[in-house]
Amino acid sequence: MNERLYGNTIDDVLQGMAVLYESAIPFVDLGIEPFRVEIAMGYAPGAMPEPFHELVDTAVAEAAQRLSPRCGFLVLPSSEVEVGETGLRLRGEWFETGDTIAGLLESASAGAIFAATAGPELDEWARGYFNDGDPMTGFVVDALGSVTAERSLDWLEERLLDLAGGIGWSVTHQYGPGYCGWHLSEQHKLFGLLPPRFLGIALSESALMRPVKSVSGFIGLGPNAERKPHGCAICTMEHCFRRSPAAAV
Amino acid sequence: MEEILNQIAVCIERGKVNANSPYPPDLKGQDGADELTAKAIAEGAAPSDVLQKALIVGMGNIGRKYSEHKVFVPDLLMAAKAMTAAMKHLKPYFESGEAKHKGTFIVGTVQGDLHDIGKNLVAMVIEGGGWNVVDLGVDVTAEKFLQAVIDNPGCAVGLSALLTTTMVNMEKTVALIKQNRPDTKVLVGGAPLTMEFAQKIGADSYSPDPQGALEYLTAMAG
Repeated sequence: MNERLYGNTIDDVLQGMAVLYESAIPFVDLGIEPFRVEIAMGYAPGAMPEPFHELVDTAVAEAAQRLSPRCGFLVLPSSEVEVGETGLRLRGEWFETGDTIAGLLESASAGAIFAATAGPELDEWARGYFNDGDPMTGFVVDALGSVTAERSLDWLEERLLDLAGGIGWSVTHQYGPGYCGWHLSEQHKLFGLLPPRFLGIALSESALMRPVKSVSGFIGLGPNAERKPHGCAICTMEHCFRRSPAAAV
Repeated sequence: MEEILNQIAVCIERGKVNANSPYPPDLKGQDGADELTAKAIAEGAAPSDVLQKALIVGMGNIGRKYSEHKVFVPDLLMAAKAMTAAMKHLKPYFESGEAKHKGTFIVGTVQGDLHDIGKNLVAMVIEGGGWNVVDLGVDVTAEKFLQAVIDNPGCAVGLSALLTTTMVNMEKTVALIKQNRPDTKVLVGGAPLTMEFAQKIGADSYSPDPQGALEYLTAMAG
């Protein structure tokens, strides 16, 4: 695995130094089971009709050959992280996350800016089906891309949890621009604190990440960091398909 | 003739494209929307009847189920695929004027945004509702929308956005269209939108799902 920890060891975070981490993720390590794609397509587990199972199984098998997911994070020491009432300050840069996210991060004394991506191959793979008049398979691949990005983030969180555990710290949940009141445009400032084209991700003027199936944000760290309620429970997006009765099962 | 039109409607609603299509499993081996539409036309069905009593009915049924969360995006995509298979038999009649669309609907994802699955679903459902759909694609500038409105007099326009950062480009687009073609109806949609936002930017309609957009257009067309 192409894993790199730049500069310092994680212990150096306790001495006020930042740590940059980057890793390729073998697709098989993501443990993507077809039911996850099923849920991403809007179905309750087990409720997806034929012939979609075959399409999903084929796409998951093919993804192992096609996709190159990656993830990485920049751990900032306590001296560079400050959580306020309506946002947080990272390396002197203020992020207006809104009071909901700020409240969920209040237990953090340090933190990590992160990104994870399904890789650049996904966009082209899905687009090919849409362009060839097969939107059904294109949608399956698109959903698989969403799951790959999400699972890459899970993988990253586990890695971060391991590293943080090594110095007696725990982690909060992760939060990102575009989520629960944190305006998407702040993605520019967030990526401004990461190395240029981190993991190969580019941002458009409208803060859209390319590859599209990428995620980014901030995870709180510290000796007392705790995970508070997360996901749909605190999101205000009324018409998201993930709120559908079946998807909520 | 009513029977075959009903069968076509069922095939479209259930996404049965043609005889070779394995989906849905309980209709395996039977003729699909493709064969049945060809048969209906060959047996003398008026193309406008096929459109009104089969395609619009089938897509309307699946569209309503989708908005009620009884079916999901893949079901809608399969239905649209069946509708497209049926529509190809009607195309010559639209071109000759023997069959008429209800109107023209311009649709696109606004500038700065590259998401298109939601926009495509809207386009498919509205086409299945009997409208001529002009799809401008993604990352469409306000000026390009306006040009399409000018090129298609009497059309309605649908704007899609999935990002909070590109929602603002909707306002610019609505303003440009209304400034130059004030009578043009503009519909907006996309996950982060609300009715409140639609009203604020001067759009005529907002719907959280494709069926709502179709129902607005149908009411508008009388």
